[in-house]
Amino acid sequence: MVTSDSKQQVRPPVSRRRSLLTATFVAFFVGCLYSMWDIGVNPLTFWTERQDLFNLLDRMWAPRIDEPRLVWEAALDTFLMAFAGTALGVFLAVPIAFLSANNVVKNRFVRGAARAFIVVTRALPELILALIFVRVYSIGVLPGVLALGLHSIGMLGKLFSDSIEQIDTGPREGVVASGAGRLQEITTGILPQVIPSFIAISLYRLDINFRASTLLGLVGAGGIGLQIRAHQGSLDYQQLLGVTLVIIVLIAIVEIISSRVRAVILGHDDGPKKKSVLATLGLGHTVEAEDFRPADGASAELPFDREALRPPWNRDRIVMWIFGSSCLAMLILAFTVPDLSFIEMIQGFPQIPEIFNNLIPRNMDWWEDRWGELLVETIQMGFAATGLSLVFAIPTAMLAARNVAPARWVYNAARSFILGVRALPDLIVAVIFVAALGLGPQPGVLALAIGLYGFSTKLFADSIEEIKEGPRDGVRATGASGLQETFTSVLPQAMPAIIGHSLYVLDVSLRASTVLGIVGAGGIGFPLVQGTRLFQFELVGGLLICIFVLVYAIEILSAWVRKQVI
Amino acid sequence: MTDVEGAIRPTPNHADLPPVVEVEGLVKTFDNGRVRALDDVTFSVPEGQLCVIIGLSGSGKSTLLRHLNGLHEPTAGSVTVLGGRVDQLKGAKLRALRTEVGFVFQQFNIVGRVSCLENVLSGALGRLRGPRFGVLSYPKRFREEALAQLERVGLGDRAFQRTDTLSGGQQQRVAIARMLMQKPKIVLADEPVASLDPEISGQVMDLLFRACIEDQITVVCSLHQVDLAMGWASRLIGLQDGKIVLDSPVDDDLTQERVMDVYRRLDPEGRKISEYGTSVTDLS
Repeated sequence: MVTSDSKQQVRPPVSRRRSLLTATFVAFFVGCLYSMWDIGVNPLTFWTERQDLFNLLDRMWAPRIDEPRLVWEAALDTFLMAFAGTALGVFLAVPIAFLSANNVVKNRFVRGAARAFIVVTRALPELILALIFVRVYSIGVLPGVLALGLHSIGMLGKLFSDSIEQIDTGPREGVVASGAGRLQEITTGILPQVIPSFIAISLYRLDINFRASTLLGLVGAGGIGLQIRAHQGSLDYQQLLGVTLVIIVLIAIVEIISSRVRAVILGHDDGPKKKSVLATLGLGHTVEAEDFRPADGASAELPFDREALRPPWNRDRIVMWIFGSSCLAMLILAFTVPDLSFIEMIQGFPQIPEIFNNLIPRNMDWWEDRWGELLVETIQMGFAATGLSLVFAIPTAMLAARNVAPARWVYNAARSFILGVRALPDLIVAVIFVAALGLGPQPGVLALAIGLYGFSTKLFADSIEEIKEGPRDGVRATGASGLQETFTSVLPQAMPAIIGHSLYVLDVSLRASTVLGIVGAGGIGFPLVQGTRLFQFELVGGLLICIFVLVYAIEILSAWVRKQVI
Repeated sequence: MTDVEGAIRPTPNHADLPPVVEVEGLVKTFDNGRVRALDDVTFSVPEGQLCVIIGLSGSGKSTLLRHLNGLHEPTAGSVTVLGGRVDQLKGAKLRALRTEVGFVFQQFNIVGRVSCLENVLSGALGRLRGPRFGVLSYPKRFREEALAQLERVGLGDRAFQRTDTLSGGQQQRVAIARMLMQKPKIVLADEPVASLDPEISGQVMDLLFRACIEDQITVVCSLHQVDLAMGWASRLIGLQDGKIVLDSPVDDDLTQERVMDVYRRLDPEGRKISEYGTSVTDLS
């Protein structure tokens, strides 16, 4: 049956799409390698610089906290700042998300404007926003809350609007068919479907904002970061380590709690599926006897026991109520305990447009050639940190994925290790590395790589756990070895996720590189901070526009690549 | 399909040839003994036989087949395939045995995202050392061989198409090509056509059995459809609640009624209920 045709080629045909993709990958790898070489870091740097790092660790040992009360108050302030910032972000992001969802708003102009706002807030680093707000409100928690809130809109708005667009149209049509109005359509047809994911996303953001809020003090926005800055300034490394350890423990606790609650809300894969949060809370209109009154005015009687009209107090409902009331309590705390006042906040509002107006450069006087060099250095730092983290992340992810890990204990060890690494805020690691290795991009890249390593390993491991088991059986049944099975059936399935996440890591890395300069770790961050301190607003604005263009370009590129590799 | 049936039906008597599969007292329980999937199953399959296992869903067909290449470990009993004790072999030796035993799955179990050719190539992994990623990581000789196998199942023109863009029947043909690429001595097929429509089912079964007869491969196949089983098999084994209730060569003595008996189920009081539960016959 084998025809002479079978002499046909046995290599994949070359297509335009394929060659473009290959070119992009080559550019990515070359970019990472060149940047690592130019900055002078490589996977062995941790080893070659071990002497300096050990010396520093020696000076840091033993960690101590001289004023536990002060640290405790600062930690509480930090958490409440993160909470208030997240609440503000959610409050602003929900309407914007609805405006930008293509199944809610049909007007392309309105949708486009909402999308643009989301992209802009995402590209403005929260540290820079905090710096700007410190100008308006002076040092304290308030600038931190505003910075977190505004920056959160970027991610929250994007993810909220994605989940609105992914809803099942059936229930919505059902609600419309029953004669509901436009707003009822949204509250009954859409909201119940998206609320679980809204809460899960907000919790995830709280987790991220808490990490960020520990650093905001570095630029004067209150919280525990102020202590880090003070100890860094006075070279009191033992206290620096003490406070850092407190931060790590707190971040790990917040992450564990938030991921547990998210699991309850989103429902476990095998358990009963998502349930309306409103229904679980027992909220909404309660059926009354009136609703059953016959039209002819006969006496109204409920056709069933009144108790049956209320949701029962089962475990889920109790958990949801506890969660709901603690959220409310914390919100009240957040606006009372720290030195945060609504009046002050509102009084400051008129100044905000003026400040943002000052940021717009009128001419190119702010430009100096060294900004160009620093921008290139920033991009290199982003690529180098991405490359460095991916080299370590992909093998670790194999050990941390339940279905690929060689043994249960390996999986548990790898997961705990990642959780620990993820709790290290990269700027604090940068502070420590700068102290050990001196100023410059090298310590910044190493610190950033550690942060990205924890972050990307988790993403990779999670997506490897999502692959289908069938094809693995298929390959195993041919007599393939474990390694062959992984390469032939696991990797091809996980590839789109791995590529997508790698691009996301690059995006996060570039944005983080822009602020590393704040602690003296190279890149564009240093003039950015100096500019804000010296009121050179046009310079700050100009540099922010450069960063925005950079981040936006990466976003367009990664959207294109993701579409090609699905 | 009708014209080939009689033409390639092999002579049913293989009993004089040496057995390639021997199962002795096989027991398999799940959930710490709460579920008894296989209950003292004993049979052997001589070389070249086309043996079909029938039975209801949950009667243990898949579990039995998965024991024959070591995807499951038995609770008790022994499984010998091609002279090797599958239940005792581990690691490299088990993998070496698996390369001789092809498996066709109900859900195809191919990698949807990669090309058909790459899926077929993965059948050669047992003959190669080290991990492979991408079509070009396989030697040219193997690529030509894989293409020839794809042409054998009639999909030579789809070599570089993504496998998940094919229809169900075509995907199963890719899986068959992968199995053939393995050059197995035995093929285990677990309900290979259960997720396909009747017409495509006939075509795929035709292809699978023809290829196995051409390459002189022994087949142990589980099937849902009695008519397909009677048409192709040289021997039928019926499973009910993990026990063998029928084991017979397919000849004139094997009436439709005896076969359909396998599809009756027992209710807890020992009465026989027909599959659709309408008539209840008291056995006691």
